[in-house]
Amino acid sequence: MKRLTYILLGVLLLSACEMEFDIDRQMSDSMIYLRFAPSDRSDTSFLYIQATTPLKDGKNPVSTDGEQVSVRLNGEMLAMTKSTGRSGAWTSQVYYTTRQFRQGDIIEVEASIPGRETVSSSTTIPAVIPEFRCTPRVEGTGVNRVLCFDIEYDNVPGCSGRYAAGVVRERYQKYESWYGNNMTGEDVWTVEDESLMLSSDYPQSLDDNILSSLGQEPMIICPEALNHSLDPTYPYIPGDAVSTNAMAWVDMPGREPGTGRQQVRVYFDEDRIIEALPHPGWDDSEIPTEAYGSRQTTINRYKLVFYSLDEGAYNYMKALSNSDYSDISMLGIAPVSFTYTNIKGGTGVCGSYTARESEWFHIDQ
Amino acid sequence: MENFKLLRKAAGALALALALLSGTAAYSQTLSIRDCIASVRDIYKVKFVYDAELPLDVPYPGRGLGWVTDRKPGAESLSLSECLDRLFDGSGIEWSRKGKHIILRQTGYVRPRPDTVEVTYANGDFLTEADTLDASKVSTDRMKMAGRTQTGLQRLDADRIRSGFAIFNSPDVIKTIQRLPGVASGTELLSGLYVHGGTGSDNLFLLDGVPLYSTSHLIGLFSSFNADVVQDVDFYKSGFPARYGGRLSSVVDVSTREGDLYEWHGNFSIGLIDGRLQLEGPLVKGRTSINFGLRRTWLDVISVPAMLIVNRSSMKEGEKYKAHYAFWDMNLGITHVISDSDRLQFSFFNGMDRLPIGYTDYLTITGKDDVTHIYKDKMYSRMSGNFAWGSTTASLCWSHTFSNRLTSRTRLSYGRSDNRTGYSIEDWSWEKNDDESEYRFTEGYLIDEDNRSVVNDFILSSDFDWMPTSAQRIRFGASLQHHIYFPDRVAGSWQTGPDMKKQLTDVNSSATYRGEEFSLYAEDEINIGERLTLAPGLRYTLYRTGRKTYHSPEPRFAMRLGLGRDVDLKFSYTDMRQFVHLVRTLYLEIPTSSWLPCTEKMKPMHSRQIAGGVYARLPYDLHLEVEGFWKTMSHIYEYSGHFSLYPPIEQWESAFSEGRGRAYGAEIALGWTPENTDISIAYTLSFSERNFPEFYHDWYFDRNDFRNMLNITATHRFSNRFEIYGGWTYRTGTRVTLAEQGIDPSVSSWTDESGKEVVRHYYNELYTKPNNIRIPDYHRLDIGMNFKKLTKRGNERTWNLSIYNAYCRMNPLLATVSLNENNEYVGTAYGGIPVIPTFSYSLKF
Repeated sequence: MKRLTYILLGVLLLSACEMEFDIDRQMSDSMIYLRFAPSDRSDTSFLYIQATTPLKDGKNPVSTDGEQVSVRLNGEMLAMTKSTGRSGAWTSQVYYTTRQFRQGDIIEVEASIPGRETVSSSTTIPAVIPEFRCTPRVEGTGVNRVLCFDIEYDNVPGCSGRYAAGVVRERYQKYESWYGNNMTGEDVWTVEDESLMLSSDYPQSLDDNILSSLGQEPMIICPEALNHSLDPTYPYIPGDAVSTNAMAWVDMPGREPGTGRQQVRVYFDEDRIIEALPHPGWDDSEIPTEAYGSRQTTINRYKLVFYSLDEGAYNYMKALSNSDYSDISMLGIAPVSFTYTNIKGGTGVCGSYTARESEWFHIDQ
Repeated sequence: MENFKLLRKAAGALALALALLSGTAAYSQTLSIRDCIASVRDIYKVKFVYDAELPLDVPYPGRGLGWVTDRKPGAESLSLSECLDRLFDGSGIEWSRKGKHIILRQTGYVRPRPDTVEVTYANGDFLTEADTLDASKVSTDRMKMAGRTQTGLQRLDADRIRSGFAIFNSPDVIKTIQRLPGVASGTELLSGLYVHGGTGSDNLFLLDGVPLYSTSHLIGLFSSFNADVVQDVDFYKSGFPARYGGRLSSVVDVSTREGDLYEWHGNFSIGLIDGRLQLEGPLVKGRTSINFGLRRTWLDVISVPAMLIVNRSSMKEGEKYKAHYAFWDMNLGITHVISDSDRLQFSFFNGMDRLPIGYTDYLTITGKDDVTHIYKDKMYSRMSGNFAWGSTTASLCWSHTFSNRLTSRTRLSYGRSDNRTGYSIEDWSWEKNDDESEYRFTEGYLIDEDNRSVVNDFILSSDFDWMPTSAQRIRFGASLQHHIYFPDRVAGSWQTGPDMKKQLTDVNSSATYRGEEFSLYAEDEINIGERLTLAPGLRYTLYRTGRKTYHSPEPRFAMRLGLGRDVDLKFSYTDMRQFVHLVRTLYLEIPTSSWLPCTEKMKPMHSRQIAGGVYARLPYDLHLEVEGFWKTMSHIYEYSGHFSLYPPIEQWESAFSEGRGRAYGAEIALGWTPENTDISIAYTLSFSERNFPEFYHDWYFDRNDFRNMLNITATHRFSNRFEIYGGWTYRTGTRVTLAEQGIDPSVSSWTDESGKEVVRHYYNELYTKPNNIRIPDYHRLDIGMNFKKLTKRGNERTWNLSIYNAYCRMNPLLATVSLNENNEYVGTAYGGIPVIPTFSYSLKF
């Protein structure tokens, strides 16, 4: 389908005439970029602030100096500490607080950099998703197999209705190789153990591409982007590719009337099933008889993470997800769905989220 | 039951309002032409035969026909011919006599309305039965807006449409409307009508009362309305009467002409890529007539030799291309006069576009592998696509005249919109080594997809037109519509190998949505004295879809205050709802979109608009309109998901975001219409904004925020044999969303081949606001000329030469921002429709 679009667009562009036009007068001046994503998941919340460089004047990068940040928690001033570890003239200035946020906390942010319009925004920590029961299973046969999760939980009043889901994969890999020849009559084995991939690159190891829909709003389809963006260790790169080449769907959107119980099915897409399910060749435990060779054993286990997002975080993440597929929209011939900011006077996002995780589970099929 | 009660209450309120208004107007005394006809009929004992569409209800000032209107003795002192001449002078109606029957027809050239005819007598008095006409002076004015109550109304007669620019042989209704103030056209390929901040999908197109969903041919270069059969077009951009509903931004009400009841005649035209034929005449003289219009391109025929030439060279490389485009439309109207007071009219329309495209590629590669084997690869690729879109309408209309003050029209109609797109792509490859005799199949894949979106409308409507007094006109009616929406999508892709066949995707989704729409309306137009006209109205619609029922009261109001004879002040308020959404993921005019109804989650779109202005006739054949408008829109929707050629069908509601819109602006139109010349200048200053919280936290400009629009058109008839036309269109460019800020810069530097140090700054680019950049402005010049001559048989033949986009402005369609070789970010816009010269030959017979 996309190929056809590109064929049509290619014909159009090939037959088209191009003209350069002046963008300097239309582009805004340097503004404040601010990113703040408090949650109940961490005891440290980071705030990033940076003066943007107008692309029209891209030869002269703008440095961030003299910034002022003011954060209020439920109307009271919240002390923010400036981090010296990651600051640089051209990169974001980083502030943090070790205050643990709770559901319902109202956080207001105001920031300024000399020569730029003062920016402000606010967020309210959304209600936490209640305990849920999660049952993974494989549906379908052959190439139509999909990995899905049946999830059940009781509704909780006050939940934002904006959710995201992610799957965390813990992978154990053992790589063995051997070489044997008639000269020595002895096989040589090397065993390489990879460390668990969960720790530092936790977000990157997600089996992303999960789509679901809970309640009123469609679910974010790129939890990887969610983590990248809201994880303070990962710089947000708008327009950067987030892997969302999934088409997944939900079986039972909406709440079942009268029961107060929500049932959701979350699916992996077809591409990911190959990776998610055990590879037939890798689980061969027989001792090899060949003179030389290698084998790899991989053991995966998973857990599901549900995020509850406030409006700002949700819209931001959705725009980020859409940006990966908006190359046509960016040409101006399709609706715009890849921009979002709730920073008044500037750009960026101030959004919060809460999350809950399932138990670890294995997929045996 | 609850709905029924509501309906009863609404009907009661309407009746009460009408009764009150009827009483208010009893003091007014202005006559209409229809009243005068009634008097003439009684006095001269003749019968009138005319099309119910004739504008007979316009106010007639009563000057010069006091002997008729007052019905005083001695009225017969004027002959019938003199009387009829005076009555219809300047009305755009011509009369002919067949025995006791006076046949009225709309003339091609609409002369001034009766209320703009000024008759002055030598003694300064109005004519009475005793007067003797010594001298008279008749001054005319083609000012259309003066004398009407509604703001934003333009009536385009067939002549005005036909005298406009003709592209590829066809004068165009939509192109003519696009030149009116307050209306913008999209860029080619994104064509359409953008009215007062609208989106293009919120215009109500009616063809003989039946809604049309798709109205363009050839990526928007043509409209579906064949000017040969169009009688007139009422275009509303504000001040919508209550009889119209269902769309937010504009109404384009196209009426086709009834066939001639007495004579056969027609029109034949042939152009470079299309031809037209129109034929009308009596099936039963004086009782039944037919009007038939057919239009077709032969691009598909022309493209056959063109493709042969292309393929002759490409076939050597194993490639073969196919592309054949064609469109056609056909109008058929049959009118039967049952009696003086009853007539039946059947009208049928079918318009279709087809675009089959494809290519095949055979490729054989010979090579040598890493060892010594010589191998051959054989590949076969094929792509075929088929796009087809169009509409069909049929209606049967019964017009009945209860009396000279009450008429009705009952219509049973059917409309269908059908969009289909399908394509198939396959790639197969084989290989063999030099020691093999047969090719071995290696791999292949196949993608197959078919999409369809169908809308079926079944409509029963009844409209009444009542003139309780000469100063009041009440219209009321009801309609019942049953809509069926059927989007369907089947798609699959497969990968195959020597011992494997694997289905990669399998989509089979379709859905049927139904909507029941019941509407009641009443509108009143009351003349209070000579200067003030009020036109209140109310429309109520009940829309039921699934388990959800929407009640929609829509008040309308318009007023006109005359300041002297030449200046009118007007004001209007309208409230409109739209119950159907155009679900699309692409702005291009290709049939990948679907019309779907509002649902429990997707509410009806809603707009409120106030408009007001001054409309003046000036000396020296000038007229001026200055109009302002303010419009708000709520529950409007925009696709907010991943880009995809086709919108999702089953869960489309979750892929659209709800937002608001507002538009405001001012329009100025200046016209100069001396004899043989018609020049008009229309300028619009407008602002159009959107607020979609999912995209941005505040208001931002809409992509169709055309700040300045200027249209200049001029026609001049040098003689009966030669006339020219020119039209220049300008509007501010479309807005697009481009990155404009950067963070986290990085610098790379290197030395190029000439030893010069090159420095590049790279950024993580930020899209800070939707629709933040305007691409270059749109403008083009169209010119045309007609050479006319009478043949020996008295038929008129016309050679038309037209040039579309005369100075070949490559108006931009899309744009990008990128880093150039000088380390500077630049915008680049792309456009693709060049100058298009055409000529045609037409013969009227």
